[in-house]
Amino acid sequence: MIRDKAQTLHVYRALSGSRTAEQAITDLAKTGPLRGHHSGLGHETIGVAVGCAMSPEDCASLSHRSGMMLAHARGGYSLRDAILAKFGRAPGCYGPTPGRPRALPAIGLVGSALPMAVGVAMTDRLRNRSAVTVAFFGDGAANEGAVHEALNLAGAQRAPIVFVLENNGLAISTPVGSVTAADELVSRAAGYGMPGAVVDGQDAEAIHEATVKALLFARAGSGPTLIEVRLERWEPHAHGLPDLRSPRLIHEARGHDGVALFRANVLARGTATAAELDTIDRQCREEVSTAVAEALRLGMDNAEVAPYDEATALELAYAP
Amino acid sequence: MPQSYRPVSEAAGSRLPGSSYIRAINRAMREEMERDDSVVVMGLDVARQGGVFGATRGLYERFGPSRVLDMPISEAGYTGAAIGMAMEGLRPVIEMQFSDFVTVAFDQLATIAAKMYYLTAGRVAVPLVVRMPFGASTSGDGYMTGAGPHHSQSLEAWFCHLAGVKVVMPATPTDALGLLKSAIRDDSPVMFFEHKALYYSLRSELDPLNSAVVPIGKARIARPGRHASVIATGAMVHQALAVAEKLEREAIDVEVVDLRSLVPLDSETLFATVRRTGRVVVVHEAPLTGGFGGELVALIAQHAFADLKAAPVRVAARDMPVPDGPAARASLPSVARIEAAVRQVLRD
Repeated sequence: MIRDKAQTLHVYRALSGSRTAEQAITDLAKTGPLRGHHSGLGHETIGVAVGCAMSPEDCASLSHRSGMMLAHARGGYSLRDAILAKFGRAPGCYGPTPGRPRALPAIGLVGSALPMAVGVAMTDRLRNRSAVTVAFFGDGAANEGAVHEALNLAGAQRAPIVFVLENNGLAISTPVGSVTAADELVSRAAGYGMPGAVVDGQDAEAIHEATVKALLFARAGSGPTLIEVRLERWEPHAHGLPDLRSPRLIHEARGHDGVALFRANVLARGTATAAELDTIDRQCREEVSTAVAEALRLGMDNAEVAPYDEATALELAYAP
Repeated sequence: MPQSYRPVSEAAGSRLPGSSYIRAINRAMREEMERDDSVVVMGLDVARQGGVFGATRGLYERFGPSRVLDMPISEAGYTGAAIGMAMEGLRPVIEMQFSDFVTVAFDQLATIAAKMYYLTAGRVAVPLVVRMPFGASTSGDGYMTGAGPHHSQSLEAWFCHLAGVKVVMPATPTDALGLLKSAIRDDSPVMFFEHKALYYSLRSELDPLNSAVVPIGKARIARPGRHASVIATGAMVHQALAVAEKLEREAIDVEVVDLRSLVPLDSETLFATVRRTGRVVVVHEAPLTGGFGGELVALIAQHAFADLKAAPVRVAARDMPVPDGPAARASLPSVARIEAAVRQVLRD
């Protein structure tokens, strides 16, 4: 529950910062300096709300859509880091990095990372650690065999893991309803013997609450939870791909704005003043514009996209 | 010397582990689990059942449910979970009940295990062993009746092409013991191919005191010779030895090289045998096209061409599914086919 003022401002700062940075990165991809980006506009709420519920010792398996927001919300990954990483000038958020909260390396095939995440959770339990793994996957990945096997195994092992199904309704161009006959993806939870929850992807407080509950459930040894978060992305799957949705539908998607909703709720409850939130917005804008200027000055460094030089790379196929 | 395959029902019974190759596998896991409590064993029916072939027998009773874990029939699921466990510092030894089932888990091994160390710039290793009972042919001219095309394959070549996993194939109990110990201690993923026919057919007893580790990446001269080299893997080593024994009566002196490791490959021993004999036969049980034999012949042609006195010959299975029943004999390598190949390279 996001109740006290300090936590409210913390969440708002992460939301505002994520939105501002994501908008800047999306614009950079559209205007040329970046060659590609899977824009996460519209997904800020899920990354921030889940990230704010996690402890540093919890382990995250990130999504390509909301991974940056989650890493930023957990700490140790500034807006400057997020922007410089796109230019190969800082380590990205997809991978274990010293000094940052636990995260698993990203895997380029959707759904394939889930069994690995279950193994991490099983290890934490075998070692009597209280950590929980939080693993994201999308509606597209939901139909992968590895996802089924991971959820079933996690249920059978009562593994301390929370599955977050980031359902934006579209796998690139394919509507979720056209590739599964199930009315609700969350209904699959019952088949694995785990609780399932559906939350509105623009409702940061609801996502946070569902995550806190699932984390407590897992920490208590009760096993996994499947949380289906329903939201819409504002942009095409990736920069350069056409968006097959009608302009009206895209316009409607942009009307579902979790950052604006959280701000309105905070103001309605009186937890913070508009002036306080405006200050945060201004600070985030300044941080992002400074980072963008720095990134453009430095330019793209392809050599540093991978965190090792050419000679080192050739020695890395096998552990010594 | 036809050897018979013992059916799975008997293998799972009280008489196992009775043969020394499978006892060696069992002993390697037991000793490594004693030595290092991060070693865990996972797979189908590996706990109370002890594995359908008996390889994990007694481990559950000795080490308990936190070290020996029965898994659902979910090869992708438990292979991926084992990768995650390995990344967290455990050393999982997972069993594919039959190596053929690894197809279900291939994405996990190819996409994740083989690339993790590279992907993380050496920060995260995957010390995982995948044990794979494989193969159809026995060490003689027989075949595993009834196993058919879904339980008899030799899939090692796929893994040699991944560039990120090691591939090991012991032919003797001593190497099964020593190489499995090395595999468990290795920080890279190791695909460990155990020939099912050898589980029961080899009777050489192991020295109870000798638990020597056999290094990965070293071939073995199974029999020295001067006239021709047969380079073989797995159960084919024993067919090659039978050929060498037979030809000895005609004063033909055949060297048999047991490759033991495919990745990394002991090219030094490979080129040395070519230097000695100049005549090469390469044998594997997998189908010919795209098989590892092609890689061996290519390496020899590129780096030891001047030492060759005859064109190398590959003996492999026909390019077809492993037949069920007597047709297997016509498809798979045999003592007769290896003998004919040796005579051919000697004639050329």
